[in-house]
Amino acid sequence: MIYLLLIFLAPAAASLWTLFGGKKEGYVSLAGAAISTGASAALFWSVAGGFAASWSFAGFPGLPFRLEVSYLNGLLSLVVGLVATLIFLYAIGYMGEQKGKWRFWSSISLFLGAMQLLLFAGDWILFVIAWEVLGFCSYLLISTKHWNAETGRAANKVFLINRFADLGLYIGVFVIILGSGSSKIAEVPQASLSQVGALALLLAAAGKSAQVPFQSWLAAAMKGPTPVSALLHSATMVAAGIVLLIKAFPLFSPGMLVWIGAVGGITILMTGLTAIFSDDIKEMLAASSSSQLGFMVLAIGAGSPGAALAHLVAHAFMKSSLFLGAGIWQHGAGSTQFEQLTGAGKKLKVTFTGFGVAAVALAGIPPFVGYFSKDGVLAAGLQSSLPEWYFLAALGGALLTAMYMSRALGILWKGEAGEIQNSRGLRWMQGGLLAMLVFVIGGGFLLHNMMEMAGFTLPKAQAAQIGGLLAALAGLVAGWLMAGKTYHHSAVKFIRNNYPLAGGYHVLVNRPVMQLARRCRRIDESIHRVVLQAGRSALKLSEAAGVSDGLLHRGVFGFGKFGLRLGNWSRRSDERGIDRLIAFLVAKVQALGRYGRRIQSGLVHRELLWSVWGLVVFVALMFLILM
Amino acid sequence: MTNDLLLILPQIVVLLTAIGSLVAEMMGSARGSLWTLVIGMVAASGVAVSKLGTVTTAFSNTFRVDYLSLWAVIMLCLTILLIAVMARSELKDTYREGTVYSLLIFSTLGALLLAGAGDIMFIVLGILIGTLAGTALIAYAKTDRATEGAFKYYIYGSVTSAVMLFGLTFWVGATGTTYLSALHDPGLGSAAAIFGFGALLVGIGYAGSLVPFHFWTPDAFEGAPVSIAAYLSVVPKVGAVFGLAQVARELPAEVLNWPLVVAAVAVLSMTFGNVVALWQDNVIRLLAYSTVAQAGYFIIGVVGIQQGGLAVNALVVFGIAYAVMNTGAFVVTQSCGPRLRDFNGLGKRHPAMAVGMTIFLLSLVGVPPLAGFAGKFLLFGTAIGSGYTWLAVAAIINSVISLAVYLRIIIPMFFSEPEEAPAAVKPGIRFVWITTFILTIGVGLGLQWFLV
Repeated sequence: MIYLLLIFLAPAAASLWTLFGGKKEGYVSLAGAAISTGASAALFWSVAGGFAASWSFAGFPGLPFRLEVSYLNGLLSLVVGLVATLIFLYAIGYMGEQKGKWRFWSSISLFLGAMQLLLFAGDWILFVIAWEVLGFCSYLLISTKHWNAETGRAANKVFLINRFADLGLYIGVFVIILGSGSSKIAEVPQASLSQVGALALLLAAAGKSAQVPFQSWLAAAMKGPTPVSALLHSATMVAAGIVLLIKAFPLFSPGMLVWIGAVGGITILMTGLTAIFSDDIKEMLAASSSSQLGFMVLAIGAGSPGAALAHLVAHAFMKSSLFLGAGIWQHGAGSTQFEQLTGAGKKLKVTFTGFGVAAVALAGIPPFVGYFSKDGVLAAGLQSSLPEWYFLAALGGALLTAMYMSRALGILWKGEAGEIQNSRGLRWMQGGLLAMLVFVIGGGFLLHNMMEMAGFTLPKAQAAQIGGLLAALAGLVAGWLMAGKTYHHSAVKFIRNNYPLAGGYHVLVNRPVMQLARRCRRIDESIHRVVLQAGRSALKLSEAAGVSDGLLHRGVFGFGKFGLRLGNWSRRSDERGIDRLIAFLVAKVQALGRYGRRIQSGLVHRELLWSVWGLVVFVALMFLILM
Repeated sequence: MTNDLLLILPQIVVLLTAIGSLVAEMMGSARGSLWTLVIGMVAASGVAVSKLGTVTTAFSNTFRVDYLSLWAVIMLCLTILLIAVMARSELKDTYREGTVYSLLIFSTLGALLLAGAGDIMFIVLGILIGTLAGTALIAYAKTDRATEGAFKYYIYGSVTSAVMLFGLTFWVGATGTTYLSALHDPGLGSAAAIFGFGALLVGIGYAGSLVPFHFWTPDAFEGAPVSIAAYLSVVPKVGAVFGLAQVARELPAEVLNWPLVVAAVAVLSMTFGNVVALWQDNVIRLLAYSTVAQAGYFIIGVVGIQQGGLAVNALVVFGIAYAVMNTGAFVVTQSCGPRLRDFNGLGKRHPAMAVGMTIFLLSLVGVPPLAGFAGKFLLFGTAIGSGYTWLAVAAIINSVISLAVYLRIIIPMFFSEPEEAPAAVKPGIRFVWITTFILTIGVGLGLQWFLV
């Protein structure tokens, strides 16, 4: 329990520290993440030994919050923790003394805490809470450079699309709770979910995991700092959608799985194409993230959450390594456009090697981790109810993956290099990148055991291994040949811009939302007017109440003034003999007035009179009721 | 007998602490006096916690040990502990500092007697002990304002107590006993019931600052040291309202429609308090009127007391919430200064504290998920459950008005430029505001731990 609390509370504390203006934001946040990951590792050690538990506390009547510790949760938490810690390490170099780092560190620490909470959530309500905090943090993080108008627009776009999809989660959870009467995330459900509820959950997952048709927000999110892209948009936040599907997997009926598989398959192919034609390295990686998440959704659709989980773990490490590499180039060349990055790999050989290893791993070449996980997905496709569709989509996806990765490598290696500056945080950044690679290289051999421990199986099939390898090799060759060529066909543009059908995001989301906002403002204004009126009448009422107080005050003052006047008058009618007597009297009266104002003795009896009147009224009221 | 003594052990611990703290002061150690208070209060509330769940009476029906009286011990003892820490940082090294702590405990004892009263004499005794100790505390500073406030408090106390005693004799006369449980006696005629209840309302209204018996409130608050004002706003009020609840529980509504009268007082208090608070420029006076309004909300719980469970829960939860958030608001005021201007730019000088104050004030308004919301939510539920929907509606409208009152403090904190350089916050004050801050949020979130 103490470990579990540390996992959430350490990053949350770091976030608060930064928020309240603590110094050394970066190091404190790193420490928070490291403590969290340490606790996560300790917890993982005990769950690996067969430990499992759950705690219920607080919450709504009858629907308590639950935290659940199982092998699955522990594993995901460790992965998230490790990736986050390495990215924090890298971010210390990346953020340096940049403007906005205050906001950056406090939100990213909070983000980590919320992600861990999401993983351990044992009931749907806590899950929704963590999900919401994630969405909010991602908005803050993307708009780290909020003084830049473009960044603001991008953050809004991400937020709007995500909000729309989040609606699905609310509906889905509502349906689950209504259906089962309990908010518990159960491994063995009483009844499977209705079609509406399942579709709602799929909507939520597709939104968070950037699946078709919501894939375009991920490209917009790349306007944020690179560590944010690496953490949120490769390893963690987008994975929340997959976590949702894995947790809800027992609730889905077979008919529903086909829908899920379809979304995954279409996403793999569409966003894979986008990645091939992309002209910006970060946008390429974003599209690739969508595509790889599509693999996971496909695996779930094929009925194998194990394969999805394996690919989730593997992808987290591979994709964050790639992002970290991209960040180093961004710092060096001052841009993420491929045009400016041609040949950059020759200048930064260490980074290029790291980037290359991660790229080849993602393409699915043994012995790297990506080979094992992709095989799992392909084999899952073969074992599913619609083997030809699932397998072909996944195979096509593997080919596309290898193509875009190898194209990127080609661009970075071929051609003449431009100016590359060595930034000051380079060492920190390379450190983060290289540490990440350890798992990319060695992790593949552990995947099988991990999945078994988590209670899943990682499917295996010879056809999948051979097919996947062939597709990867073919893709790598094709991609290398494509590098350096530019495409200007209008269809390519259409694909590159994430399929802006019917005007895309702007027409479909932006304009209606703005319209609605304008309408709401009009309603708001009229409500405002009514409230103002009500406020004015309340003020008048209180004025009346204030007057009674004022009257009494004036009475006391009047008493003092009267004394003064008396004094003046008496001075005017001054006679020598009684002069002193009158002066004495005036002084006494003045003193009395002052005294009276001080103690307000004139008031107490009047106020008491009020009280007595009150008593009389109440007694009279009671008699009246009685009659 | 021994059993009876064991039952009222928390109250006995409080009494012994009061004496012990006085002795420590006589020996010249204000610190010792404070520490006696801390240890005694923690012990008393610990004993009360261990007894939670007991429902019985002691000393042949004269004192009740139940949910209300036990929770009163817990919340008041812990509140007085926080207030003593506030008083320490405000009055440190003044003449006879230790008497303050001793008097604080004595007056708490008065409130505790009220909260567990099963006999009319305990009501009278509770109010008298509270009044006398309170008067001395208000006058402690010996300034003109303090004297004025103390005088008002005293004169009000003597008149209202006299009226109350006079009225209560009707009850004793009609039933022939001082037990509250005797109020069921059919011999209690309507007229006697009315006079007695009206008079009781005067006494309780004075102690709990309910309209129209509240007039002492702003002057006494302004004159007294801020920590004493915080005490006045919490301790006597909780005692008075719980005492009223103990009486109302026994008084049959067929003889006399007392819930309607209490509801009327509630609406009057809320409305008057909020509306007049809008006009105050002095934060202490503003908070004084706000406590008048909060007292109005508080007695909504009494209206439905005969319905049982929910009303009792509502009283306890709101009591806790009110004690916590009000102490919090007062401690920040103690640190900043009494004028509205003193809050200008607090958000820049002490951002954490400004956030804390905002949370306290929003909790006073009743914004979820803070403690104030939990309390008000239950109270309004009680009102609706006992058929007083109009009362709930009036209370909700009042909550909206009160937002305007508290915004008058919140807005300058964040939207005005600071006039002075940030000053260091005393450790005692920091301790109190952070504790109350955590509790304000914690009570709101962990609501069900306080329910029966």
